[in-house]
Amino acid sequence: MNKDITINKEAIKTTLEEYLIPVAAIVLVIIGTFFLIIPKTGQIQEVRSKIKQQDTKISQLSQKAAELSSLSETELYESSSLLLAAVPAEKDFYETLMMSKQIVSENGVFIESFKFAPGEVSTESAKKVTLSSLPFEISFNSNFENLKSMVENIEKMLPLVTIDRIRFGSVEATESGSLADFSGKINLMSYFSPLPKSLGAPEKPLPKIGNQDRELVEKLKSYKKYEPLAVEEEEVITVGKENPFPF
Amino acid sequence: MNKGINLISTEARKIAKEQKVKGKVKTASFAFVAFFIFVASLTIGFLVFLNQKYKSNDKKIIALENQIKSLEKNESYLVTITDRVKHAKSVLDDRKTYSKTIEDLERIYVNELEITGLDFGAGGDMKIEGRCLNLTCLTELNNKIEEIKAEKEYQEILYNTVSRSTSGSYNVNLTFKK
Repeated sequence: MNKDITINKEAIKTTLEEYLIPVAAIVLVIIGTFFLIIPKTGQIQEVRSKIKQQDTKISQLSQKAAELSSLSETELYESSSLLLAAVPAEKDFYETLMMSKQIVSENGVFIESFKFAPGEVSTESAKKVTLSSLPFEISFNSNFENLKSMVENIEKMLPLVTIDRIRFGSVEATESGSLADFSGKINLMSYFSPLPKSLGAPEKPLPKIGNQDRELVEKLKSYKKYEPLAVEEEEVITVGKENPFPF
Repeated sequence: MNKGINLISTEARKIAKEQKVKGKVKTASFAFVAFFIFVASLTIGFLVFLNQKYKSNDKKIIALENQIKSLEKNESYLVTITDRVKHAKSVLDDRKTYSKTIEDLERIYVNELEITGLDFGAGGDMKIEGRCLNLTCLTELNNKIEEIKAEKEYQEILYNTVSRSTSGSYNVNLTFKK
């Protein structure tokens, strides 16, 4: 009985010895699969997904770089300056006052008084507003022809101004029988809007300028640009932490 | 005798068979290990290749970002243009033009009409108060108004009041609605 057991042990030992290398190989392969192949496959998936994202980014950046290179800096500067003259970045009460005085006087309209309601001028909350308006009222005295030319010029001037209302206090007939002399109040509205704070991520696509936008720029080119009479020094408008806008 | 010989033969066949199996197992295990090494090398090689591509893409991105940064001025102009165009459009679309209204006021200014009150409202409407000294003036004024009506520039042109005074003049109150 004892002899039988010894023989069996021997047999098992011998069998194990003979199959040691294959068994060890299988164990190593299994361990290798779990600790090398599977983690590396995971890394491959991760890197491939990152590369896919990079490829998308590269394509976006290449397109953006090509588009930016094809643009003319001079033309862009001229258009942006024109549009900034149309809708200024900052609510400037003094400039608006000077400009309106200039338009009215240029057209031979006599100014009796000005009235402004500037509201928030340069506070943080005022800067947050997308498009803010500065209403003002001019009391005038004029003959019909001058009033007509003033209204026509206001509608074709930069900065853009809208006439909210014209109230006539008195209409006096002239001796010549031509149109009467008028006195009254004209309510105007000028507009301001802060510049965007940043340009956004580099891969962010460039904003598109459509044909209608180009037509608008061309239309505004025919408008008369009013600038403040006394300019001391060009002031740099700070927007955001680092100002990307060269205005 | 035969029985003994047969037993030896079976043992030998068994041993030979076992040796054959052992050989096959060994070969299979070597093949298995070789296959594992091949797959592992392929995996590691592919990962190295991908990592290199990732690094090279990173360099490309940095180069492109630098190129875009060097053209930042153009981008800022472009952003400014689109932003300002949006605002300019909204101002121009919403505003009422008064120059045409003033032209129409000039047109209806017929002989012997005295304008006593005038108001250009916020919506572009025009309200006129006047006095026609005689019927000819009133007829002429009405003709002009009909002409303007035909042009369909206004939603409606209303005679709010028309009254005749004892002196023979006509008081007119008109609204040009846009």
